[in-house]
Amino acid sequence: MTHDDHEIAVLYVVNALSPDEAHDFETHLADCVECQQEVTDMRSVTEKLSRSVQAEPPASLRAAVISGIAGVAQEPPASSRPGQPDRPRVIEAPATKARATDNEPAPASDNVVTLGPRRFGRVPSLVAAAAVLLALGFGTWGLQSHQDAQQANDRVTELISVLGAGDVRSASGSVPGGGSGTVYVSRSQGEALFVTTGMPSPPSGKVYELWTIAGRPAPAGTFTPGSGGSVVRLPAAALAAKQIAITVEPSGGSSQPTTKPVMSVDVPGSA
Amino acid sequence: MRQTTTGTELASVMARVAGGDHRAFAELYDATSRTVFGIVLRVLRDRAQAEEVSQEVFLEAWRLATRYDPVQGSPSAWINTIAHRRAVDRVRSAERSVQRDLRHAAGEFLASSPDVSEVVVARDEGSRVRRALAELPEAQRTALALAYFDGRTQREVAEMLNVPLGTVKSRMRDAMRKLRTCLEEGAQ
Repeated sequence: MTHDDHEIAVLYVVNALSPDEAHDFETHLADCVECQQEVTDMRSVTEKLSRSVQAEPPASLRAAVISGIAGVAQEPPASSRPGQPDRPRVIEAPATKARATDNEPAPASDNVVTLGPRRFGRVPSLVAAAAVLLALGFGTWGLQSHQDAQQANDRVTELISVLGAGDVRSASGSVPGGGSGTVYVSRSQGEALFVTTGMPSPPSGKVYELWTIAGRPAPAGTFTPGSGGSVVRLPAAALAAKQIAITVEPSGGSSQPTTKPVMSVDVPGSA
Repeated sequence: MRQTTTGTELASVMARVAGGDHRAFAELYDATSRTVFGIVLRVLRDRAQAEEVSQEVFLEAWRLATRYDPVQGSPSAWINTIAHRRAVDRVRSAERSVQRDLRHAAGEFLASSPDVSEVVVARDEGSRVRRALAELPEAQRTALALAYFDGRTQREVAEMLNVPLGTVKSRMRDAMRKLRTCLEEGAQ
């Protein structure tokens, strides 16, 4: 078996191939004893992966399943490839393709995370989380209501806690005019992110400016939200700050706040 | 070995199912339904759809039990293959929304709190698998989780992580090999 076949066997077993690719591999598999062995071995691993997420089905399912087979004929034994379940052909949803091109990241300012290709392995995972959010089109969400924004926040929190995999903590605040913001802090990674959802666009000629507050407010970057939200990587000073605040400032930002904050959030874990 | 006993029992149950035995089919259901429902639910993230797809899985298992070949793995691995494939097919044919994308993104099971049934049923094996997963390098774990638990294609994983396709392939291969080694050692 070649190196490449090994890789394809794994992708086949986790169902990460397209229907055509899976079909091609199955053609090869029918005649390749080594790949058959590899697939069998790998399926014992995926079965264990599934066992790790076991969940109790409702009792009604048992009844439905058992009554569901009444009168259903079984297939005649063994065609060409015993034990290979039928694979229904699936047409790739067009939305999948569209997503890759549609989602321009949110308008970027200096420290809005805009990650180019191939950086994932080298950046802290909290920043990788932000990259995933942008890749998923987070910056182009249209959030209609406070409830949408809240649900979005919950999902972002979930995602970041997973990708951050460790000591990520968060705190949220809301903007009176609509929208909310959440600060995510990982002290072990030395990283902090600010994620906004559903904030209205600032007035013409203005931007939002973030501030880290530990005594005097220090500028922490400006941003203009996308239609749904923005992901901003905060300077390291955020880790030492008591609060993160947002004000509306003239384009280009200010060196100190010139308006009252529209929102402020306590940095989690600050002394 | 406990595992072998269970496996042997299930193999004989499976043989009876292939012979059209409805009572054996109920036994097969009882032995595998939590794993089937668990993985289908994990991929689909929707209980109503997970119930529907699980039912299809067992119907397919009934129809195709006649073609099950023990050489190709245990009955539970066989039915898990059907379950994962059906769940992935469902998720790919459904309209894909950003909401699903976010809810799914990236191996969340590592951080999620298991529900009560999961703890009761899978305390030993589940925690062992999670430990094995936790020991993988993060890049490998993320790639594998996006594919297996979220039902992503290799191309989608590559796009989401901004890495070349070849990197996704090798990360998944390395992840699965390490898991296999790790879980084999742990079983002894």
